[in-house]
This record gives sequence, C-alpha cells and structure tokens, in this order.
Amino acid sequence: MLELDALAKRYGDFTAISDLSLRVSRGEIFALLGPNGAGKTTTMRILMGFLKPTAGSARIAGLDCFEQRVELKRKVGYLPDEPVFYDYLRGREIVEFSGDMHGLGRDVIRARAAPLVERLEMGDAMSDYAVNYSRGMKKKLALICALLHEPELLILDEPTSGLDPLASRRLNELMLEWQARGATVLLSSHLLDQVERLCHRMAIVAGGRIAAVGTLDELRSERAQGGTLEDIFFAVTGADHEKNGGHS
Amino acid sequence: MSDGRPEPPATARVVLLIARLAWLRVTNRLGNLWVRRAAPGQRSATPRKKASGRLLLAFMALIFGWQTVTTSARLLQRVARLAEQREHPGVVILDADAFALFASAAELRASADGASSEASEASDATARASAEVELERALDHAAGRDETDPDVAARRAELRRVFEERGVGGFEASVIPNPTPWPDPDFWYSGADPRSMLKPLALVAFLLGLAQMLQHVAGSDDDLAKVGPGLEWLFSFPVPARALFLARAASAVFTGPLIWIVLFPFHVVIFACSGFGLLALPVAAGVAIYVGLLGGGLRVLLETTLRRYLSAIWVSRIQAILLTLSLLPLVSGYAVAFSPITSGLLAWASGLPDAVFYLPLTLPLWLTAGGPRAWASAALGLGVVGAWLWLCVRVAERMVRSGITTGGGDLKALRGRGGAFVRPRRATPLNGILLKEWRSMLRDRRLRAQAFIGPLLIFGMQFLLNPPLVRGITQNPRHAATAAFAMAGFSLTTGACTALAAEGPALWLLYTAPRPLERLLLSKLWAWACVACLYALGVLSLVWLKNPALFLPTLPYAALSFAGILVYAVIALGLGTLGTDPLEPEPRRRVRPGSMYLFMLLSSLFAYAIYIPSWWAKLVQLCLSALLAFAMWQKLRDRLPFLLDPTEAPLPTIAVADGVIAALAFFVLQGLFTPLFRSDERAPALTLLLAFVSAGSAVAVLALISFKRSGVPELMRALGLSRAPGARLGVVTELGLGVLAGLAAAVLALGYLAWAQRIPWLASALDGPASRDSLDLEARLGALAVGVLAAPLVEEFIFRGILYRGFRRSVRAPSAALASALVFALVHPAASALPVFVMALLAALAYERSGWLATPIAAHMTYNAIVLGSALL
Repeated sequence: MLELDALAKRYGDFTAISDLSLRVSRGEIFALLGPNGAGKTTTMRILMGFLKPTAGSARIAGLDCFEQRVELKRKVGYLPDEPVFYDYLRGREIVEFSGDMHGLGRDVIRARAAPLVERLEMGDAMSDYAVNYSRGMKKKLALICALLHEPELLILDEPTSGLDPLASRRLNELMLEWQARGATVLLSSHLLDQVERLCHRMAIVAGGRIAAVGTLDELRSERAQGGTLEDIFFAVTGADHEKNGGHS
Repeated sequence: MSDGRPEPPATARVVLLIARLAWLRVTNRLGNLWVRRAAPGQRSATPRKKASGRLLLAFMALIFGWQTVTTSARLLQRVARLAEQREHPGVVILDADAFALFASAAELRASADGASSEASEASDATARASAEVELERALDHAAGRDETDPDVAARRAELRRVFEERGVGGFEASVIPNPTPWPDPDFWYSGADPRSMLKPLALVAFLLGLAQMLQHVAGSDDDLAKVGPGLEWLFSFPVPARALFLARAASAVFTGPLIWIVLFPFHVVIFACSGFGLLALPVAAGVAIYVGLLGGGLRVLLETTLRRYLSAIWVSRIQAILLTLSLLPLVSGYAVAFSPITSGLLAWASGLPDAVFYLPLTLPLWLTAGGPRAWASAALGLGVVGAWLWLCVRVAERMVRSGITTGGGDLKALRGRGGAFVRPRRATPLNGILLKEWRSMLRDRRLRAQAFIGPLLIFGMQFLLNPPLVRGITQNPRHAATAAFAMAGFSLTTGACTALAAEGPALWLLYTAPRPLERLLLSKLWAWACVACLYALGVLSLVWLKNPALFLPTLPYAALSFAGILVYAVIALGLGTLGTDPLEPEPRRRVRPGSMYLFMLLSSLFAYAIYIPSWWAKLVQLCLSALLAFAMWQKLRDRLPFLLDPTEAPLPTIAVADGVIAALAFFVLQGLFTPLFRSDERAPALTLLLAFVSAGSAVAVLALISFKRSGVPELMRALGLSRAPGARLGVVTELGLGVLAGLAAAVLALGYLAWAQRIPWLASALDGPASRDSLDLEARLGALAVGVLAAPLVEEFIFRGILYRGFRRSVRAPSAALASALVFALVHPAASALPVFVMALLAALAYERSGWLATPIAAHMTYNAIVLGSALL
C-alpha cells in the first residue's frame, strides 16, 4: 500500500529526513513514533504531495506521491496535526465543501457525515464557525472531512492530541472499524500506550532516520529486552533526544 | 529595592529597543541580503525558498517613488501656472511655444490685411489661409486637438474668441517652463502671494497624508480587533504601558505603507522646487516621519479605545470601513494632483481660507515660505506631534488599565440558524469552491468592503468630484469603455489578485482534494471575472441610460474592454498568486502589495490602449496582454505544486515569461544604446547597427547567464544553440530547410509588397524612411547589414530560442508557432506585419523540425536578404 524508498528531505542545510525506507501493507494500522523534530510530519506531508522529496521516492498504491498527487488524493484521507479552516464558514459547510471537492453528491455527503458527526458528538457545533472551535473540535471536524470519501489509506498526524478521553476512544474505535473494512491507517503519535494497544507495526524515527521498525514483539526481541514500548522507545532514540528539539 | 535584579529600562530606551525591533523586521523582510550561514551541523530554522518577487518589489517601489516624483513635478508646474494666471486676470497665460504660434498667426494675419489693399485677391487668400493654419496650430498646441472632447472644444473656442477680440495682446507667455519629469526650481511661482501657490499643494498634501494615516490604522498587518501576539508579548516585560504604546506609535515610521513611496517623494519635489536644493531630502524625510508619527498615534489611540468599548465584531467592521475610507483620500489626492481634468479643483483650492495651513497635515508646507514663518511652523509641527503622541499614549494607557484583552465577544455564528447538519438544505446552483467563495464574500466584511463597496465608493466619489469626467464618459465612447475597464480592473485588484491569499492557512484543505489546484483557481477566476464584467456592464449601462445615442458607437470599444477584463483577470490571478506567500502566518502580509501595484500599472496601460484612437495599437496591446496572461498562467502552473513546500521550487525551464522579458530588454537596451553610439562622424546606419548588435549581444549574454544560474538542464540544447547529438537531419539539410522556408516566405512577401503598392494607404505606410530614394548608398548598405546579419541572429535567439521554446512547453507545435509568430509580427510595423508573420511561422516550424537555431536563422537571413535587398538596392 505504502512504499518509501530511501526517502530524503532537506530544507536548505537542514536534513529533516534521510534515507527513510518503509513498507506498509494493506489493512495495517501502522504507527510512526519519534521525538519532536524527528521528521514524522515531514514524512506525512511528503506522502500527501505537499512537499517534494529531495531524494528517494514515496508511493501509495503504486502512485508517486508528488508526481501523481491529484490522482492519489482520491484514495487518501488526511488529518493534519493542526487543522486550520476558513474564516466565516460553519462546520457543516466545511464538510459539504470537502465532499464537493471529492465530487460526492449532497445526499452521499449527508448520509456519510451524519453518523460520524453523531459519534464524534459534533452535532451542536456544526452550525458554528469553524475558526472558533477548540483544537480538539477542529481535529474532529478535519477527521470527518478526511473520512467522507472513504479513503483506502488514512494519514493521521497525531490524531488524538487535543481530543478529550471520550473522543480519543471513539477515534480508536473508528480506526479499528476502518481497518476491518480493509483500509490502511498510518498515524503518528506520542501516546505510546495507545500505539501499543492499537497498532500492528510501528517505526521509531529519530533524527530523520528509521531507528527501529516492526511489531512490538519484533522490537522487543530485536532489542533483546522486555518491557513496554516506552522502554524500547527511550532505548532506541537515546536519552538525549531533547537536544534534537525543534518543530516536527 | 536592591535584590540584585537589574532595573527595568527607561521609557526612551524601550522606545529605542522596540523601534529597533521594528526596523529589524522591516529589513529582514525586505532583504535577507546579509544572511549569516549557520555553522555546519547546527540546526537552523528552515529557510524559505527565495521569493521570486523581491527584486521586483524593490523595483516597483523605485518605480512608484519615481512616478510620484515625476507626477509631483508636473503638479507643481501646473500649480505654478495656475498661480501665475491668477495674478494676471486680464490675459491668458500660455506656454512659450503656444504664445509664439499665436504671435506668428497674428503677424501673418496682419501682413495679409496689410497686403490686401495692393496685391491680388489670390495672394490675399493664401496669406489668410496660412494665418488660419498657424492659428489652428496654435490652438492645437494650447488646447489639444481632439474636438470631440467638450473640454477641448470649449477651450479652443475661448482661445479663439480672445484671439479674435484682442489679437496677441490677449495672451502672455508664461515665466514657468514646460513640464519636466524632475523637479525644477523654476516651477515655483514667486509672485505676490506665496499662498496662491501653496493652497492647491495643501489640498493634495492633506489628502495624501490622510490616506496614509487611515491606511496605517486600518490597512496594516494585524486585525484591529485582536490583540496581536506581539503586543501581548511586549506586555509581559517589566516596562510601563506608556513606553510600549509610544514605541508602537514610533514604529509606524518604518511600517507605514505610503510614507516612503508617496509622501516622501512628494515633499522632496515641493521642497526642491521651492529652493531647498539638496536640503529638500532631509526636510522631506522629516515631514514624512512627522506624518508617520501622526498616523502611529492615531492607530494606538483607536485600537485601544475601540477594543475597550466595542465588541470584536464591531471593531472588525470599523476597520473594514476605515480601510475603504482610506482609499478615498488616496484616490482623490492622486486625482487632484495628477489628472489634467481636475484643474478646476486646484483652482478651487487656491480660494480656500488660510485656515487650511493650520491643519496638522498641511503645516509643513509653511517651511517653503522661509524665514520666521518656516521656523514657527517647524516649532508648531514639533509641538503638534508631541502633544498628539502624548494624548494618544495617555488615552491608550487608560484604556488598558483593566487589561489588554478585547472587550466584546468573539465571532460567533448564531446557533441553529444554519440548521442541523442532517436537515436537507435548499439546493443552490453553486457548490464546491464557488459556494465557499460566495459564502465568504457574503459574510466576511473586509472582503465585501474591498470587492464591492470600495470600487463603488471610489468611482462614485470621482463622479461627484469631477463633473467633467462624467461628461467625458457619457459623450465619448472611448471614455465610456475606458471607465468600464477601469472599474472592472479595480475590482480585480482586490478580488482576483488575492484569490490565493484568501485561502490562507486553510490551503491544505484544497490540497487534499483530488483536483489540480489550477483548476480550482480557475473557477475562482471565473467568479471574479464575472464580478468584474458586471461592474463594467454597470458603468456602460449608466452611460447608455444617460446617452442612448452612444450605444452603437460604444460597442466595439466595449467589446475590447470585456476582452481586456478576461485577459487581465488571468493576469491579476497570476500576479497575485505569484506574489503570495501562503505560508506567511499573517493574513495581510500574505500577498505582496507590490504585485497589486504592478497589476494596477499594467491594467492602466491597457486602459490607455482603449483610450487612444489607433486600432493597431489596441490590437498590439491586447495581444501583448494575452501573451503576458499566458506567461503568468504558465509560471503559476509551475509553481502551484510547490506552494506548501518551504524550500523546493519548480524545475527551472525556459518559459514564455523569459521570452517576454528578453524581448522587452532587447527593445529597451536598443533604445538606450542608440544615443550612446550616436556621433557626428558616424553614419546613422552604423549607429543603428552598433546599438542593435550590442543590445542583442547583451540580451543573449544576460539570458545565458540567468538560465545558467537558475540551472536549466541541458541549456545549450534547450536553446537550440547546439545540435541534438542524434539529429535526424544533417547539417546541410537543416540549413537548407531554413533557406527554403526563408525563400518561401520571401516570395510571398514580394507578392504582398507588389499588391500593397496598389493600395494607397498601405503603400504610403510601407514607403517609410528606409526607402531607396531617401538614403545614400552607405546608409542602405548599413541597413542591409543590420537586416541580414545582425537581426536574424538576435531575433531568432529571442523569438525562437526563448519565446517559441517557452510556448512549446505548454502547447503543441502549431499553436506555439502561431503564438510566437503573432508576437513577432506585432513588434513590427503594422504595414509589414503580415509577411513578417508568415516568415516567423515558417521559421518556427522549421525550427521545430531541426531543433537547431541555425535553421530559423538561415530562414530569417534568406528572407531579409531578398526582401530588404529588393527594397534597398
């Protein structure tokens, strides 16, 4: 479903990611883990065709993420870390707009959005201007927009940050449901216990490179140590990861 | 309290620190010229990709400033003439040339009258006729030629009446010289009363100063309703609010948009003309700073007061209103100062009471009076600005006593008004991006004010202020069509130019849709073009209501206007989008004002083309504008995929825009070099040859360097300078192909020339200065050398090597050949456009076949050798 080959992105002198190779198969829930500034968001933005890789290639379902970005968007749903919406548009109107942009009819949009709105408890807010939403509400709205066209691959950048516990749980349920329907989910997260419970495989990214990749068991055996994902995470990224701080 | 902590800085130091910060921001934004590189391995912030328009912006600022200088110089000259005329109520003041013409007409008439007694009637009639011709020339010179213009006709009638009644005694030559583009101390009429000179200037200074103040309050970067993060941050320091506000007011001097490109040059001209010499520069800078401080104080006063007492939504509304209002004085200031039809207003201003000089914005004009009055005004100005800042800062301080947050509620939609999500909605014909656009336009007051209220207000005001303008528009079809285009163009400036900027940080949403962004922008473009066309139609409808007889004569011009609106909508979108940085967090900074000004400049060129009578010029202007639109669109499409990437840029290629720039540069350089090479010893033809060759080589070298620097892959091949390694045809075949194309075009051209000789107007147009009888052999040989040797090399490089290649990237060979040939024909004289077009078409097609520039060069050489040779030898 997703193939990254020796992917690299440099901003001027700064290397955000380098030599990142990864395969995610259809139907997996895959997590990208790593400290701030590790290159998770950059990777996701490359996958969405927002950024052009400096070297290497990124393909989703056989499509090149930059060159075939328009075709690609029909299969991918994206939830950014900090969704920003237009001024003076209500939540409902933004959802309609997203559906329109994917060429969905109004009836389809309504039929697909209504259950999502209900489950994420957004019913009351849909008539408010989206710029006034709190961070969690914006994320929920963006999630509804991302799911409307029933994508094959969901790219979720820190999906649970800013969500309240109930919404987090709902989101986890949603991800499992989508996976059961055959969709692939790629998410980045700092919540290691969530990842531990939810994801099939994970990659730990540090300093723009993949430091470890596999299922939790594989990571454990590879490192020849037991313990939680958190222990592995610190072991892999090193204790001094704060030094790498910056924006991801 | 000595707890070892440092004392907080004093007020003056705070002001200095914050002003320095503001200065740093300005220079960082403008230049990035002295970027320090981070040490290797050190993490630095992601550097943005180079903004392509920075140089352009600087260039535009220069152009704008220079334009203010030249127009101000002209204004001063006009004001001085007006003052002179006021001092001489008995006579009509004319410029020296017009006066000489009237004098010679009077002389001729007198000699005719004197001769009539003795000479024959025939010679009498000739003498009278020549007197009449001279009088006509005098009238043409003094009042203008176009008698369809009622103002011109009235002025001519008046001058004729004076001449018939009082002869040359009714006139007097002006002591003020004719207008020049730079300030001249002679433009200052130092007659009896300096005030007659100063009052019209005071009106303009007042309007421009007011525009600057309002712009600074409402048009600046941040939302008036919100406490910017910058201010909140500053309030976290242990310094008094007064110091912060004072600093904020002072930093207006750097950030005020109009201060340095309008007010400063305007005052430089005034002071230079009134005899300050080089001192005019610092004095004008002082005045500009003075006006900037007044605006900065007003901003501090208003932002704190409004936030304290009004809800955020009302503050936003007021900001929108002020922003709209700020356009009024700017436009009317410009109109009064620079439009020739507003002489009435300048004359009216001379009659204003003296109190106008005691307004804060006009006070600095007293400096021109010199002596004690100047010192008094300087002292008064210092007092005014000091008192004003003190007042504003004190009030602001009081306003934030209970905190710096806003007073009112946030932007809230009424809950339930939009209905629950699942409820079926009324069907609308719009959906997707158009629906979104329509909704924001209805709800976003600033957008609405800019798109709808602004143009209406500005034009309404013009109509109120300038009855002659209305008369001109309703009586002359060209004026009507020009006004319609101007109105539409203005709405495009605020609409289509900001189409991308309006998306702002929500742009990511568009990128998640499975549609090319240019398609989405195109639908926005349609929406804005429709709005613009509606404006134009509105203007025309009013004209037709007022004067139904104008309907038919206006139609061709109106058609041209509408074609122009569509073309300029694309240009507006292109310029606006290329000048937009979607990653810029602050909304008002996202689109560079330079691109809007550039759009205004370009569209005013087209408005001028509608206005001038020549249809050939109109056609040329329309085609060149379409070319520009195409070039813009091509650049835009290249850039769109990279908008969200802070560092990557599109792969460098040869674009239509490069061809346009190269062609323009070639013409400009040729014009510049010709006087350089001109000398008495050198034959004019040789001068021409030298200028042509050096301009051509300069363009070629510059183009090569710039393509090389931007890293166009396989440059020599791309430009056709080297042959493709696996060329299908041999060298001889490729050259032969060119010669053949040239021959074919030449045969057609000779046929055309033979045919044209039988059409009188074409024949006279073709029989220009380069005909065989008017030149000696040396000149003819020189012309031939330019035509056969130099021109093909240079022109083929520009028109086939760059322009055709640029077109070819986006369209197929036949269309690219047609387009490049059309442009090539348009830069030639109208009469020879047709054969030149055919030649260019064939050359382009031959070039397509061979891919080597030598082919079209051979075609061009062959063609020129035959056609020019037959004409010259």
